[in-house]
Amino acid sequence: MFATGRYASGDWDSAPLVPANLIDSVARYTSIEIAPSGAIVPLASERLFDYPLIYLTGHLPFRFTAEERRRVKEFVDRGGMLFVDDHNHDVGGVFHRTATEELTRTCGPIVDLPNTHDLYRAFFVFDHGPPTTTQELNGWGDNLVHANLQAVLGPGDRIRVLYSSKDYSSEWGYHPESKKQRSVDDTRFGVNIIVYALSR
Amino acid sequence: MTAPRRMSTIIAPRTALGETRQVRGILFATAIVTSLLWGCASAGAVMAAGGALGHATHRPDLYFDWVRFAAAVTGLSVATIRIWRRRYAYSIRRVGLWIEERVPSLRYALVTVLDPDARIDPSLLDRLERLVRDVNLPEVALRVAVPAYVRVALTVLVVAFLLARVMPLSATDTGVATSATPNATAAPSNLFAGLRARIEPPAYAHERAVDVADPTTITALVGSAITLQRRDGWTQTLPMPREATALTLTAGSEHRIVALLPIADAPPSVVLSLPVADTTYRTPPKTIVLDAKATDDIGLVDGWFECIISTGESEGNFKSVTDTIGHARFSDARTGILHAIFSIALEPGSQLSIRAIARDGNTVTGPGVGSSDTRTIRIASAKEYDSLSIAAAAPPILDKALMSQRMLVMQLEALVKKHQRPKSESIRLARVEESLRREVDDILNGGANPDSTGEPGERADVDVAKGGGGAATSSRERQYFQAAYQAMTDAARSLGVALPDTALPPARRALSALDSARVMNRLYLRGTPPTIVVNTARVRLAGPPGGPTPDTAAPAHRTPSPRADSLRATVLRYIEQPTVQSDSLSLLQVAVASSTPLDTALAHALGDAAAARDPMHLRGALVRVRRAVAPTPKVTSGLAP
Repeated sequence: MFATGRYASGDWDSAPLVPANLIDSVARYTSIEIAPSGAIVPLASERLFDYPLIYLTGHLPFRFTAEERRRVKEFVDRGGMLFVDDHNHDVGGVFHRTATEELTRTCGPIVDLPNTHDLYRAFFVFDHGPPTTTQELNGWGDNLVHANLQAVLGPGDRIRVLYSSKDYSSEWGYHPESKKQRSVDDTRFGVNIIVYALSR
Repeated sequence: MTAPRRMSTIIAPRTALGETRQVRGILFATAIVTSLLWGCASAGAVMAAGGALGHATHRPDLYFDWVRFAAAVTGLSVATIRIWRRRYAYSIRRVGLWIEERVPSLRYALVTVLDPDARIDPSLLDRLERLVRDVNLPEVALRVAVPAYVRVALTVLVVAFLLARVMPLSATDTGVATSATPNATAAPSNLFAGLRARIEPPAYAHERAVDVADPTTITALVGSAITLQRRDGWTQTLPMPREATALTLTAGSEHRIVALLPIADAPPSVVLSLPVADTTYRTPPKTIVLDAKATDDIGLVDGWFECIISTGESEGNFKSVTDTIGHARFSDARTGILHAIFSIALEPGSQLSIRAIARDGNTVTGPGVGSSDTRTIRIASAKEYDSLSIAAAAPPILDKALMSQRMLVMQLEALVKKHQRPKSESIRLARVEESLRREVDDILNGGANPDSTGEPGERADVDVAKGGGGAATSSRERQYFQAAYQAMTDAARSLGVALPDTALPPARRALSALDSARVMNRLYLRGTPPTIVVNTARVRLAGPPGGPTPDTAAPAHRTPSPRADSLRATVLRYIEQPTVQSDSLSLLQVAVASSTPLDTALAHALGDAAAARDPMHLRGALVRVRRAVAPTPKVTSGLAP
């Protein structure tokens, strides 16, 4: 089941269409059994450990409460994976600054993820690293095309926290029924993230 | 030597044959004992020489088995040969000759007396006997026996010393013990036997140095200076690393492993006490009081409040400004108080995120920075309705109803106690109960119920189907309000007919139900995201024919097994071995201390086992290791059938 994390600060529910879109893609391209609708799980809840991958996004200052911090640390220590996407697509933005600081404090140092990482070959092959988004190409936010994603890595370079400044939350924020209008399905990278979280 | 002679004189008259038998006993005992000791000394010498050679050339275990076998054969052979060479001690005649050889003044008088075949005149025999009695024969034997004992004793001591030098090393390396219970670990080698460590914490900690004798585990703050010193004067200083490390000390063929377990300086812990909670203001406050308390395990340096003001309501116009206020210095105190007043005017629609930050004096890996939880202060926009506004307003309807119901119960109890119960008082309370019932109805149905102004007892039930119109949202909360509503209906009906005794129990039930509803946890939801259910079966049919597209890659490898579990299994397998080594336990301790999540109990138990120097302590430490490795028992309320 695809899970969106709910945290006490900020706007955790700013990309409500992303879960359904990724569920659609996982069902479309893989044989992974997946629930037809996503779940919303409070980060301070023990239910966090029911899910292998937690998706977090938002625009506003991003802070964990003490309980959320404790749970999230235990979650990644026990093998769970966080996918955090900056909905502002702005490295100077408040979400980026607060989220990277909070994640560093909670889970460890965030480093640039090499574009040769196993994530980019987990299912679909992305030879040039993370796919660009229309927000980057249109010069919105920080007016940068980010060459790398960032991550908190564990033993064996396994991703504990995947952090994106590319605003996939906006890129993938459409109803899955609209997917048929597109020549290239831009959510395929989301499939890689889910397959990676489940198999590595 | 005179005492035994007197004793023998008392017990029996001295004869040449009797004294010769005593000498034979002394010689016989000396031959047996010294032969066996020489055999042991020979075997020990072979083991010492073979052990030293094998250890120097790093021979395998089989070599040491052969050394032990050769030593046993050598010892047995030496003992046998020596006993055979002293076989004269069994014959009286040969003992007599042995004495004659050492006491020439006897002039064969003794052998003549001892010769059973000699036909000697009794007077001559008596003279010969007297001649023999003039010589103390046992003393002659002891003059020979004592030096023999001394020689063999010295030899045994030398061999034992050599064995003590060599055998501990070979025993450790070869794992000679094979008993079912774990054996003691390696005895400390001589070079590292008196090892001492001096631990000097980093300067910022302001703590005194600590000395540790014979360390197997050193636990200290990261950056502490560790000075190791041997008895022979060798010293080495190194800093405590950031990660658990196995320090291997080598001197010639000897080595020693010391586990270095760093203690990380924890960042400060900060608790923001004011503002107490996230708040939404209808009108911007002029000032906001900020208060926080910071604590640290070593010492705080300074602290401040960080304020982020965010504005904007939609994507594209979010803006934020960060500022810091209330800087304070703590001069290495372990506790510090932060206090400030935020006085920047906030605009409607803006959001203020406040947190307190403190910094410690860690100059090695820091400074460590700790921060409190963030409080969010929102200023509602003009067009926004916010149910969480705390602007001055009437008490919440729930609290008002609760207090009124409590007041009604108290007045009703007073009425019941009265001897005279005026009917008018009961009717008045019935009206109060009815008004409270209408308020509960508002909570349940949002005040849209046309029956809400009806007379007491007109409604038998609350319209549950209207749920959602009132303030009570959760089903459990609604259950409490429905129970209160029913109880208040009953109480109002009884009061309406002037039966306060009958009205009191349902009034109390209503109060209890309202109390339960009041203490229920409230969850603030920003809104419910739309639930989109994907028809996965249909989507799968819409996928690319033949499965995934050609640009997919097969998974590179399977998920590796969790390292922590694997390490625990390794520990468990190792401690089940008949012989465990101190060095290996230290290495496992470092591996456990480096793994994630950190298993402190297991690391400590392994450290105790590595430091154990006798089987009893080792066994106890290994039991703790086994308990730490074993999975947490599952607690059940009873046994399964």
